[in-house]
Amino acid sequence: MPRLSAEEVIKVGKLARLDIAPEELDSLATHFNDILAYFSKLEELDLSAVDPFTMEDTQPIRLRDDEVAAYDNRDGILDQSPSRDGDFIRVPKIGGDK
Amino acid sequence: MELSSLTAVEIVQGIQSRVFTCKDVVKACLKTIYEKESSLHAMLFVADEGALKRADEIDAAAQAGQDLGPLMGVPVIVKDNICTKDMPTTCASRILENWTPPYDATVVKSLLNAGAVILGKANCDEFAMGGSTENSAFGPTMNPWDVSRVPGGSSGGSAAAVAAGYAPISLGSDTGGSIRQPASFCGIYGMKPTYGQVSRYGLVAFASSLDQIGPFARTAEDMKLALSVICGFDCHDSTSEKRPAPQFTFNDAPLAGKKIGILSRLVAGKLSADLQSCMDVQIEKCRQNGAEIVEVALPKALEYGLACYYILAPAEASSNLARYDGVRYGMAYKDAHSLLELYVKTRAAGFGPEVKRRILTGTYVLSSGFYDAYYLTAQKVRKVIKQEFASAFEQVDAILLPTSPTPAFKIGAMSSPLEMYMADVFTIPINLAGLPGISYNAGFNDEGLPLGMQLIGPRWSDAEILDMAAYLGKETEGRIAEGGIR
Repeated sequence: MPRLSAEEVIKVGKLARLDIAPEELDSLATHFNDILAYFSKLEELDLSAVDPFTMEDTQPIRLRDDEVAAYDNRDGILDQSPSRDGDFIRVPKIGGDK
Repeated sequence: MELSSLTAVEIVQGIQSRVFTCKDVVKACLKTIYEKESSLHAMLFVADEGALKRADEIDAAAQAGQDLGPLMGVPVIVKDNICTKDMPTTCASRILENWTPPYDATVVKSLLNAGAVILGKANCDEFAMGGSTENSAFGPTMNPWDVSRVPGGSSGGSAAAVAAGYAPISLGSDTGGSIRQPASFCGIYGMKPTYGQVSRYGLVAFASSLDQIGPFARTAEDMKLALSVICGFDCHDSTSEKRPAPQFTFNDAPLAGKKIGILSRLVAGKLSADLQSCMDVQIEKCRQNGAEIVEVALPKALEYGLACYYILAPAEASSNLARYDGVRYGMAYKDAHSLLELYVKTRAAGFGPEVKRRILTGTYVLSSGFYDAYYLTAQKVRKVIKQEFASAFEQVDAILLPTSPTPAFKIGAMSSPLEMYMADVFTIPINLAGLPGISYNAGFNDEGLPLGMQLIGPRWSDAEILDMAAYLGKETEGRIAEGGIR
């Protein structure tokens, strides 16, 4: 199993939309490498003849009918937004980031 | 008579026969909370006014001779990752610090429809990620038997609250042991029902293929009451199964003629001495009560379950927690100049270290180039573990093993996240296989710390394993923890 460098941890942070502060980096990288080393245990198993688990192994997937219904607490949802603006939610500009 | 130490069954009887009022009970429970909370910190929100108002409504109904349901007037505490319309639901995270959900979880509705009084919200590890409640952004909960120790986790507040007499029943959630392990550390019953048995609608999602809501109680009769109220089909949870409600009954000799599986060879060397001897005593007790003891083999579940879980659960968590972005609810970074900056800075400020570790791990194992090596491999191991349990349950009716390798450990004792993960070794495989598991108190060690044992059954055997656990746990059940509270 590979060992992750600090740069790679920052890259994973970008994928996760998570800013990693310089002071967190060391402990996160250490944990990352410890846990990846632990995962390598699974290499001991011969899984060539095993199909991966899916939720259908436990129970059939059941979908309910898609029915339109009125919801009585619309404001209860909108009011939770940190930046509600009438019936809208205001966000900073989209795009332009590198 | 100390009203806050009554069981739910006694409370319902007392209110319906007008020996005392619901308000008397709620006041007594609130008094206990206020007396003990500075030592325990089991609660994140106490609904004092709301609970007293609700008690008045229940007393008016009792006065009019109405029966409001099987939990009429019973105070219940709910883990803070279960949505409550009139109370904050923070998941013990800064990112949801000021969030009040616009709806009640299905289990909360079921409790209210059965006449319960929701007393407040219990502390837990942030987003249910942890085994000690030390990962709460609002500070740890202490174990009511010894306040220098953890109550377990992640549902540590729910377990400590019931053990300390805040309420007779609480709800928790169990993704890898988060109900059973704190139940064992706090000397009470705690059950993870079969996956699909209890609706998770309104449970803040952590790892959806593993999450399950379940109850805590000091007595088996109260467990039965709580389970009978929360089990059942719900169209709002696609994993909820339409099937007859389980019939929870207690038999005089539930172990007679049963085959009980044990794992003595596999757990040897993994247990503290007190739990080893506790397990031996419990096995003997099963035998004396007519059970046949059968050594079963679950080598892969115990050896590879942890690694499998710590790939799959973070993978699901990284996806489930993507919704916390500062836009629709929860914390938002104020000075963001772009949407991306809002996301990354809000999440950096809002999540604690363990949640960040799991999001990063999950993102990594799902990322391009590593998916097959980690996620797909873990899903194959999950299949192997599920099959291993299926074979075991062809030979036995239930499996008995300790809930945790040790009793409650000291606050701060775990030196690394990985060491903390190792404590889940006996609880995690059950979630991977979607099975029901119950932890019951099987006695106390020389220091007065509770020792918990776990019974696991095949899918939908919830009523059977509760029946057995009730029998085995009868001698020590019902005690209120007074030990460590100053």
